[in-house]
Amino acid sequence: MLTPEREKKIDELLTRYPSSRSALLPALWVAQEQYGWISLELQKYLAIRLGITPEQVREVVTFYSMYNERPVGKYHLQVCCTTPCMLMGSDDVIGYLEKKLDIRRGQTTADGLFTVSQVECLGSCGTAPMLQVNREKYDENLTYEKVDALVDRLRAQAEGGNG
Amino acid sequence: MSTDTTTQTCTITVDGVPVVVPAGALLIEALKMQGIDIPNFCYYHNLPAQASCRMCLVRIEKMPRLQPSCTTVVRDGMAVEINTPEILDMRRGMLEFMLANHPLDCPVCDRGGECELQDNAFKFGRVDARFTEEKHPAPDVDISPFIYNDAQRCVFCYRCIRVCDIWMDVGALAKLNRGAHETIGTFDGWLDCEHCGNCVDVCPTGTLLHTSYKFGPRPWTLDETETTCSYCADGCRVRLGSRGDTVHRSIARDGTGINEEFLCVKGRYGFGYINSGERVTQPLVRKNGELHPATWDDALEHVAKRLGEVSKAKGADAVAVLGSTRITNEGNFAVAEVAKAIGTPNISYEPDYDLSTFMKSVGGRLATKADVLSADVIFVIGGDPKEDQPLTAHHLVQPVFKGKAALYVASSRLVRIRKRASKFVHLRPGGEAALLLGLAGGSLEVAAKAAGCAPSDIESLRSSLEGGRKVVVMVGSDCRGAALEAASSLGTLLAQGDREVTYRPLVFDNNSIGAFDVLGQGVPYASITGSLGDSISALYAVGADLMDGEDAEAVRARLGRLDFLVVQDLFMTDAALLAEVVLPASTYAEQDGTFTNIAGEVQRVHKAIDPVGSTRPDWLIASQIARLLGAEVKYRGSVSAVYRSLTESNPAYANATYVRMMTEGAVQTERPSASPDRSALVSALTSATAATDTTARHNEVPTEMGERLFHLGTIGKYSKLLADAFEDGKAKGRSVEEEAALIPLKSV
Ligand code: SF4
Ligand code: SF4
Ligand code: SF4
Ligand code: FES
Ligand code: FES
Repeated sequence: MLTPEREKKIDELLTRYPSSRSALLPALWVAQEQYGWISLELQKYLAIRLGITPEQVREVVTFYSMYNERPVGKYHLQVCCTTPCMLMGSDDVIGYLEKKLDIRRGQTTADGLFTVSQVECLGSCGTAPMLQVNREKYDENLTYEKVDALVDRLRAQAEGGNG
Repeated sequence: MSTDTTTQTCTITVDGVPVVVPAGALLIEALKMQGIDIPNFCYYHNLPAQASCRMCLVRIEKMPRLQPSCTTVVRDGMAVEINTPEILDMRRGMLEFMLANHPLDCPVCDRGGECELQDNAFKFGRVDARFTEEKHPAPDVDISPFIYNDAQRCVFCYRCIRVCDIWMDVGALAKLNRGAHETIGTFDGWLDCEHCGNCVDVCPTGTLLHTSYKFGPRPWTLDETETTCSYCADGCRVRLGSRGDTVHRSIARDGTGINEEFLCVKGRYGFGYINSGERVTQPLVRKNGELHPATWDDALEHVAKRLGEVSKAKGADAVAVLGSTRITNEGNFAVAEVAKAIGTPNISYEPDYDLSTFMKSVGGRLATKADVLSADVIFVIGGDPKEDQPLTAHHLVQPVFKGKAALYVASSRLVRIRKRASKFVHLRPGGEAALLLGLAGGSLEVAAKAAGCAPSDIESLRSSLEGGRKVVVMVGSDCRGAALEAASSLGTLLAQGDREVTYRPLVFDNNSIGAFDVLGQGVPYASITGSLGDSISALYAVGADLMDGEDAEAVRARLGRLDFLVVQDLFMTDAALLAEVVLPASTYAEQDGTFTNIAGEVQRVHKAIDPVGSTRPDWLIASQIARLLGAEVKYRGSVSAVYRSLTESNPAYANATYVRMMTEGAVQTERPSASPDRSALVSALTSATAATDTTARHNEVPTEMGERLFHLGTIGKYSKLLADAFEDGKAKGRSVEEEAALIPLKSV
């Protein structure tokens, strides 16, 4: 299911830890890199590969919002909604994004560009409210204007073909 | 118990009152012994500590914060507060959080009335709810044919997950998502597991529930009866919940039996046959070629008359009587009385295991639960408790998980129990005798060649077994003849040493050992079935699956040649359809009596409901026939008198009285252990080894989860829930590939 280089990477990960279960987090990254998300089939494959149960894999996949169980858009907007961000208006931010992109959280726009997700604390409470695009650096102290600018920039980037 | 019982004590004070408790005990358990219940959710007496629910917090002097009593060990002089405003406030607060997203739908929840969350909320919770936030509704969903999940009711104690991981060694439940969105679930929405339902029974809330009890009667309206499971020889104590004439559920609670709270899929969900509409409920007598309902008096007199006629015309030997591994000891005993009354030696039953060979050579006591739990070496040869004796499998992995015992497995099949073995020796089919010869000190090369393994395997297995101080040998039914004799006296074959070896024959049916004890002195089963219609002209068959084998058609022809056939059973079996008289028997749930389990322990069967229709217990029917045949039957209408006669005639049962069973539960029969002749055993093994087919190829097909566990058998077939789930494949086990990946050691 994975490319030969990725299989090799997983072999290498397995040598790093005393128990194969510990290699699960990085192995999931390797798998997600290839597909952009991690299907149940892929989770089962990794379970057998690591000698753990499929349930143990899925527990981890669903615990961390960084792992996607469904395909996501080109830009995955992960809005923190944990208490400090919530107090600073994250509900407004995510609600604004939903309206602007005409999708609900967890959904992807029809053009495949954006997915909006609600995630737990990303460790940047001092600059709340905040969000993260894919695995890039944070967009912080968000306002509606900043959100508009961010979406415009990403759209332009996608059109320019250098996203 | 999570603590060792010790005679040492210490004194602690509880809200200022000094109490003496066992040193080293967990605070929550020490207090329980004093009759003080600390509310809890995640604590469970035989699961590892979790300490996640915080319901059991108490104040301990000199400790900065409240402490969980489920992980705190008592110390002398410890001052504990459990009933102060602070603690009561804390409990109120914990419950408020737990109920924040709870649907509060007790009136329609099947756990209502026996729900720990409901009880604690009632005792310690607030009257009103302060949260105004929206709840996350989650509709209940079926996650197997037997279990449904109402996720919103969960308190995240993870008892279910730990039970599946540790009791069952299956690991099919997962905690999914996190925070407020967390749920207990499965990998893909459907359980691939052993379907034991233990996760449901330990759940303190109405999250995991039995589909078989959905919208069932309220628990407090049920009559509950403790009895013994009618499926396998492990002999779990089950508690049947009935209302009127109907059994509504089968559970195990309060740790009362050898199985504590454990049951397997059959014991828990296979009770449907009791109230099956297909039961035979009245006596039937054939007239003009057809079976017609008859009164008991007419039917019994007809039976006695016809048996008497055949015996008079063709001799007593022309009559045969069959008992069963399924019915109670009292039933079989009374069936034997019928044979005695006729004066025929032709009495037997269909054995599921060669117990006469096993018992002839068994070199020690039969291993009890305590022996298994305290063993340091467990050796399973030629069987798979994971599939055939679920409670045995559960018990034997517990000391292995704790690192107290090492498990060794030898089998010609890739048995599931090998998953936890320190070493698995994969034999060729029929290689058991050769392996045992090697273990007995025979030539390693010869033994290994015939056994189909490496000489070093045998050598290392031998030294592992000889290193044990408390060894349990479990002898599966793949061991036959010399291999069976040798395995059941393995202790005499190993090098002399200071060790206790106990033995467990891996028998299948619930009363295999009892049937052997009561009927084992009769003639071999095959000699009866082989003479039906020839030297045998009349047959009284009780609970006997005469036509369940591959030779069903041959048996049908033979039965057709009988002068008289009377079948006593629960259902219209194929043999019953051919009978001249059909006598409707009661199930175990409708009668009192005893079963003898895999450890040779006698356990009580208690009547939960009145006999269905006009059925009668086997012991009553048989003793009535015996009386009509002129036997002097002392025990009219009293099953305890039947049992007393049994104990008088069988010394092994002399001390296993009903009274002792009442106080002790399972009482082990006392059998003289055989003193097998070592050199005779070795020479038998040598010839068996020489006769082994060394061209036989290893069986490389791994045993699948449920391969035999989900096999219905006669009574299972009539239990609708089980039959539907197993026959259309809705109840699945984990796939062989996934299971194989979990096996830490490669087979050899
Ligand atoms: S029913 Fe299945 S999930 Fe529940 S404890 Fe048993 S094996 Fe595990
Ligand atoms: S489902 Fe029941 S046993 Fe499992 S975590 Fe939830 S409340 Fe506890
Ligand atoms: S393990 Fe055996 S005795 Fe126990 S519930 Fe299952 S079938 Fe019944
Ligand atoms: S709460 Fe949003 S970053 Fe911590
Ligand atoms: S019972 Fe002690 S923390 Fe749950």
